Amino acid sequence: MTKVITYGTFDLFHQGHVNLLERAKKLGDYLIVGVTTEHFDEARGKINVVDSCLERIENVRKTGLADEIIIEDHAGQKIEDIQKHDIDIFTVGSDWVGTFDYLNTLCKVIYLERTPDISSTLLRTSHFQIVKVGIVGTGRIAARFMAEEKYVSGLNIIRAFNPESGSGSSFGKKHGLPVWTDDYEKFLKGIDAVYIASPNETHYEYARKAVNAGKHVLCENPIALNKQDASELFLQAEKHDVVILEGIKTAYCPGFQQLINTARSGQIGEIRDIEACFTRLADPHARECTDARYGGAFLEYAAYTLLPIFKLFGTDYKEVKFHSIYRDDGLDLYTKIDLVYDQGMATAKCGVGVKTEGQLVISGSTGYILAESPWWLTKKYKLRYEDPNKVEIFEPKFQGDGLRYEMGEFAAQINKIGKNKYLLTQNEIMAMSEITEMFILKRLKRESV
Amino acid sequence: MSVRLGIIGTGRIARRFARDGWQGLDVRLNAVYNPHQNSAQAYASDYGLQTGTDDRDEFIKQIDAAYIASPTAFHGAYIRWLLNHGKHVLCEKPMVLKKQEAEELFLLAEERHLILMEAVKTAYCPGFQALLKLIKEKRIGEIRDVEACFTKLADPGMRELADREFGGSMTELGTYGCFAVLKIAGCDYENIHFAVQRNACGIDLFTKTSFQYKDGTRMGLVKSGLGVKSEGELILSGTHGYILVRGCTNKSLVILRLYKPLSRMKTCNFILHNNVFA
Repeated sequence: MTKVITYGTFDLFHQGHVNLLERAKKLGDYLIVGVTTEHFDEARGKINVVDSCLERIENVRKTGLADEIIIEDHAGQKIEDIQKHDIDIFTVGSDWVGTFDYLNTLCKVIYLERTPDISSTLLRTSHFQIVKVGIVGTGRIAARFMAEEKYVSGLNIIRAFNPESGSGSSFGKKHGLPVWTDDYEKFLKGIDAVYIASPNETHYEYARKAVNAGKHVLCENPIALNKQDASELFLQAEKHDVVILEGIKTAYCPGFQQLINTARSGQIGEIRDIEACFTRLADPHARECTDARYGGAFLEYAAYTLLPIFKLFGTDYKEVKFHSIYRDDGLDLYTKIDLVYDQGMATAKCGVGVKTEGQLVISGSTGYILAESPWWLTKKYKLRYEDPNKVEIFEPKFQGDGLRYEMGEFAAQINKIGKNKYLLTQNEIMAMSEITEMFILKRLKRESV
Repeated sequence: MSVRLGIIGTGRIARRFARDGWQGLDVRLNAVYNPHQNSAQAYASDYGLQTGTDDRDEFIKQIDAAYIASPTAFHGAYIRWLLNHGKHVLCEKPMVLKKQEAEELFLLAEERHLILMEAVKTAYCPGFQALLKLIKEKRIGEIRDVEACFTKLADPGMRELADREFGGSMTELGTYGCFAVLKIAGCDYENIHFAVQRNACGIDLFTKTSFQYKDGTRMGLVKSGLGVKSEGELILSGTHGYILVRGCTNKSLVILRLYKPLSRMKTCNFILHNNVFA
């Protein structure tokens, strides 16, 4: 008898799960299914699991495909199970390729191809809908988005869009996704939401068309290059009753929220100055270094550095000044944004051609908070005072590369169970668009001189 | 013949001055002057000085050179008096608060062949010199930005936060940072801008001074705070990496981080046993 084992969360149970179980069953004569506990999922980085462990076990049981169901609740358990149950074949979906090769010494390891376009014909017990997502753009960030998908409940990426046929096809092949190269309107049909990770200048148009077609939008920053466009998007989103989220991932990181709340709690006295810096010496051939109009330091990183400032001082600044170092073709290699508020002042620094210490420093009347690079994926920050021996260190939880938190929030808001609109408000996005508009205008003026 | 040195002022800084290592230097701390006789005598007996006096004539007879650590308001007058009596002068920063006065004093010193120095100790630290060498060797490429921050929370009742004319964060703490910016990014700045937070008396609790340069390839920022606490550091940002200097209590840590696109970060730590940034 060939014994097969597979594991999963089986949250928001859908046809894709059934397909996987069917194929696992066909590999042998006896199928054991391991279902994870919430606690174990959390520990291994899977966020926002919706259904309870009992519901998820019940859904697996109802398929009639499992000969035995077990619970997986700790790291290293797979080895124990394989030995205890005398397993011949271990199998999981191909989104885990490579991860479980270490089990090869104990039994055969088979990765089953994923079936992207799942139908939701199955009777659902949960009110939470699986959101079918199309990705616009197939570059670096899109690939990272794909890698994080398996850690988020409720999002199912089923297709991609890239008008340049050559660049999209390898992405499609790698991730098993069909890639549309034209007819964006048609691409939008059959999906519930889009994730926009295309070049900066195209964000607004893709987002606008998606919203008008009644699709939810998660858009990489900048979502718009001026205030008018941003405001139009929010207006249309409200009209079509869809969720629109800007992908400034820092805003959704639990650690960043904790840092902001620590600053607000009075532990450093009154907040007087904020400095946020994000620089990365870019590959000279990368878009942010070659596209003089829509690349550059400001458009690449300003949103991240403005975020903590808006969170703590609000968007009602009295004065804004830009200081940039430009390349001959007008691309900003380094930009400092100085903001003045009634209660304090702030500086945001971004660079693609100048490197400096990427830190967030929140200075108060009795102490300060220092979060070192990469503070935008907040994993650690310190509280410090005049007495250099007094230091408090905070190490909030952070999983993966941070994208999963914004993805989880997106799924939750679409299903109207998210109450976290404060994480990144429309007001904050509008203020960022306004500052972006001012920056672009200043740059254009400089070019015309 | 050893240099007979006099000290004007008996406060915290004057005390540090007397304590610091004079071993091996051909200098004798001879006299201390303070308009309050008691303070002068207490200082003299604490540090074994021959004379502690409130009598200027008595003081000046016993010295070849003087170190001034009086309140800033009196610096200019003391310097003039000392130079006019043929004495060399080392004056605590800020020397004076007006450019014209500084120019007059330097001219006077030159005419009389005397030394007039401002006690910006960063300038004389071996660590800072080593830093300048790294920059000269273009270890981090071209310098694009120099940022210096120095904050020290002061007791609200202290002179620094009560003296409207001479107190405040910028006059108290700004010299070190401004020195670093001017030394590294140059004195030829085109624009300077101050962003200031004041207390009820109008004294600056926190000042950010930004420097813009004409060619648009450099900038500088100096942060000074007596009422705001921030990370004390000097950051030199370049086209290939940056240098970070963080102040510790008794030594400074210089971190040189070199970046090359698409390659891993290279970090070298230099521990300098001199206070680069006090």
